[in-house]
Amino acid sequence: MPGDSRWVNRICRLYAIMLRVYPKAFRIQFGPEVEQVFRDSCRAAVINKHLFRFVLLMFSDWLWTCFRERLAPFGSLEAHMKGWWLLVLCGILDAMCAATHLFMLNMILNPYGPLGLRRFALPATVWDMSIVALLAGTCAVAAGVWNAGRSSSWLLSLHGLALAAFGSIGISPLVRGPLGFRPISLLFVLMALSLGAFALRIAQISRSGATDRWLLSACAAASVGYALSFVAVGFGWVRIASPYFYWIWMSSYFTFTSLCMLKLAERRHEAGPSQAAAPITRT
Amino acid sequence: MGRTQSPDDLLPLTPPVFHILLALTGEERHGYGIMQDVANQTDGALQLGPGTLYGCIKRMLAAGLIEESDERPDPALDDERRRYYRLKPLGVCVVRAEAQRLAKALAAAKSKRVFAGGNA
Repeated sequence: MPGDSRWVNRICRLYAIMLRVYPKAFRIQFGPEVEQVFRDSCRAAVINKHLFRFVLLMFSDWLWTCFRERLAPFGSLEAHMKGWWLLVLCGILDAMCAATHLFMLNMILNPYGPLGLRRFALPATVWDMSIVALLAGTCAVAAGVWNAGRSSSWLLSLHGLALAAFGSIGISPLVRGPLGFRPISLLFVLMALSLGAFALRIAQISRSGATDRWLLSACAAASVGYALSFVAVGFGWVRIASPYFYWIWMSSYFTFTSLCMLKLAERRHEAGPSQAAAPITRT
Repeated sequence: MGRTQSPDDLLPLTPPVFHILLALTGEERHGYGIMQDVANQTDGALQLGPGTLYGCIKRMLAAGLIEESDERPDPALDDERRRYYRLKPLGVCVVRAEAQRLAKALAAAKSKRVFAGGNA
């Protein structure tokens, strides 16, 4: 500022450089204000001839804030999730699983298609879907393990393990011949319940808006609904008469899981260092 | 899941947060105004630096205790870069609950004759 003394301008310039050590999100949100408050305080210190004490106070404040703001994400339940992109990848792979199910439906619905192509396409699609499911499960397990000990991340690992096991069935040379739906349905029950419980946990600890929490809770409720439907079909309480419905049902589940994963990834990404906060309470 | 946060969940407050809430009670203030008011409240015992102040403001905004104000007391006299903050209803409840908690602690200290130089 032109009206300020040379000392004030120099100290403020130095402080502006020191602020670069603060996390980027903090600087974007409050940087100009912090500089403004610092300049005001510096002017007052020069007028009151407390410059040395002021410099000491500001240096200790800067040092403490650097530590606190850098470490805050690690102490928070809503901490930035390491590897949130793994959840995005998992969501994309789940969407691919949903697409392969629809592809199979198309194969069945298209009885006039070339028989040779259908013979080739069905096993190939099962193989592709299994690989994609295995990769999606691996991503979920990796995300869960990477965040071990935080916010019930083990539920994410459990979901990933069940999904990877489902994928392994399709490509494993040990599995031969037709397999009953019951063991597969139990894997899907595990997948749906673990994902639902994880979404519910995130909704409980979330400090974001009510809409966000409502959506996550709806994800949890829908997961329970899917789990019940898998139990009902797996144990033969409900019979699916037409294979069309089976593929549509499975495809809808994978679409739902994909949306859940993307929502969770977005939630965890947004709750990064800018929102993640050390508590305001003394614990 | 519309979970509403109870003021008691946020207690006890850290001294800077409590004094910032007190500074904003009944009045909107900008950052430097809050710093000055906190220093006045505590006779200079609590001197907030800009980092501590805005760290607390960030957490209080996230916890829904305060919000940024759109209005300025006197736009002609004020710097446009300054942002003003004010208490939200939850912030009012929390500062009241913390003050009551401290009042009880003070009453307990008085009953033990801490101020009269009772046995340590």
